[in-house]
Amino acid sequence: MTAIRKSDVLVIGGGIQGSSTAYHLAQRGISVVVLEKDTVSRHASGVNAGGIRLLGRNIAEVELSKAAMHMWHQLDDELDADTGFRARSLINVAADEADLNTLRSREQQMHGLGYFHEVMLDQQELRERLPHVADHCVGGVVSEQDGYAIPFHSTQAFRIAAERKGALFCEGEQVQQIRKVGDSWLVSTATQQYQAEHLVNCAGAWADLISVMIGDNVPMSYSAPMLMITARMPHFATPVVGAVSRPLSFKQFENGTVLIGGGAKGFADRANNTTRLDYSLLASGAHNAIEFFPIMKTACINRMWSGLEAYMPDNLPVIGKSVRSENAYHAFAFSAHGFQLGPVIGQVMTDLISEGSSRFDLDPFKINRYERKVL
Amino acid sequence: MFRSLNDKQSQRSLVNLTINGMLVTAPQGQTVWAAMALAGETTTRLSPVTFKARSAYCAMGVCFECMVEINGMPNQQACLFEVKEGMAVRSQKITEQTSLLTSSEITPSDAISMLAENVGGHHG
Repeated sequence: MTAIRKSDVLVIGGGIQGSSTAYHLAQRGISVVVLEKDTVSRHASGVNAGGIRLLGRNIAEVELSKAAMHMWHQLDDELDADTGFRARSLINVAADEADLNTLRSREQQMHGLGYFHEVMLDQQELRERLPHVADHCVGGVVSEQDGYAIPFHSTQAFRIAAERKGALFCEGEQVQQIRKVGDSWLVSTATQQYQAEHLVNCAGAWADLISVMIGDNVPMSYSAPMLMITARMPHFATPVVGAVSRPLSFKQFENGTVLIGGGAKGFADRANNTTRLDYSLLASGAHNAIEFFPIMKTACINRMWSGLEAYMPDNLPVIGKSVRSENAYHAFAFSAHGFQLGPVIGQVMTDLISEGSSRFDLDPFKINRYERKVL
Repeated sequence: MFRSLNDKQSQRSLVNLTINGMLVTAPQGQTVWAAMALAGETTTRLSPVTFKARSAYCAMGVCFECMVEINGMPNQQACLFEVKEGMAVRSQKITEQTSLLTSSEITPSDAISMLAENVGGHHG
């Protein structure tokens, strides 16, 4: 066995959260090692839909998401890389009056909190922005700053920028044991030992296992959200599209292909690193797309896939300090909407480590929020 | 020019279809690709990236070069479909540049025909 590899911080998980954390730490001159059991961006961070979405965020996430959005708009320059980010706006389509009522009460709530980035569209405005939307759609809501990025490129961009600033990424290193020895974390893989003062858990669909090793129990689950992509189609939609109350989400890329998501889940087998698709759910997702955009009748599906993603019961991530252990931190279970938050989460983790606190309210994301208070 | 080796085909019952708007008669059981070739319409599609004309390469379902638009559905392999009465076949001209965003009224077929003229320049 080789000598113990030492650093200030050890990050477990080479997805976008772990890579962004490594980047922000390295930028502040803090030495960091990232342990990735497979390869960087192998799972959710490499195969997600790439939505860069501020629209419709849970109130608890709005401040983080706004900060992240600001970063996305300058990220290519900041990282000196091509993340594939395109600001195309995001429109959630209202299919009926009930959807419009949902949007009206959301608007009232957002305005009350001083947020004005979500703007309602009437039927005509919707048609001007999405000429091919189905006739029955009555309106919608738009967030102008939103768009998409290419997830694999974005995650790799963070990794490469972090490495340029001195971060070390160790791939194929699966954590087997975590121990606290004095003031240090001692982490073992099959071939190597790592020692660091601070430990960050960004292990995605495997984060509950890491969390337990650190001492925090967490009711995390994991699943396999599915996506499909069409052959090239004539350009018919510039904005990213979602629906207010239906499981629909799609975007048309510059090459004409259309990526269709919507949250339908396949079957996850994390022990074997694989997923299986649920074709009947994919078919109903395809029907949803046709219902909102009749031109999708002419779409031909080229590929379908899914990735392993972690979820919390409230669909909010775990972000913050460990409650059981000093100098341990979590950022996981983003519940299929963490990609957009990646840039800011690295900053939050770095603030927690170097300053002991974050400028954001992280209370809603505490790891022990489901713990029974009285037995 | 392509010609049919099978004289008996002419004894089969015939179907009427259109290929790029042209009325064509073809024996039942013939593939769309064969009907296109015999009608002199050998361009099945344009490459979406280079805009160059493509035609069937394998004619047996493997190469996907013969993708055409059949009854408005793009990406159909001409070599695997049999001709049917009333079928409308069009060469597929969807490229990265094809856009339906200039007007909300035009159909994919309209857009494709409009584009065919613009794309002509890329060949010459």
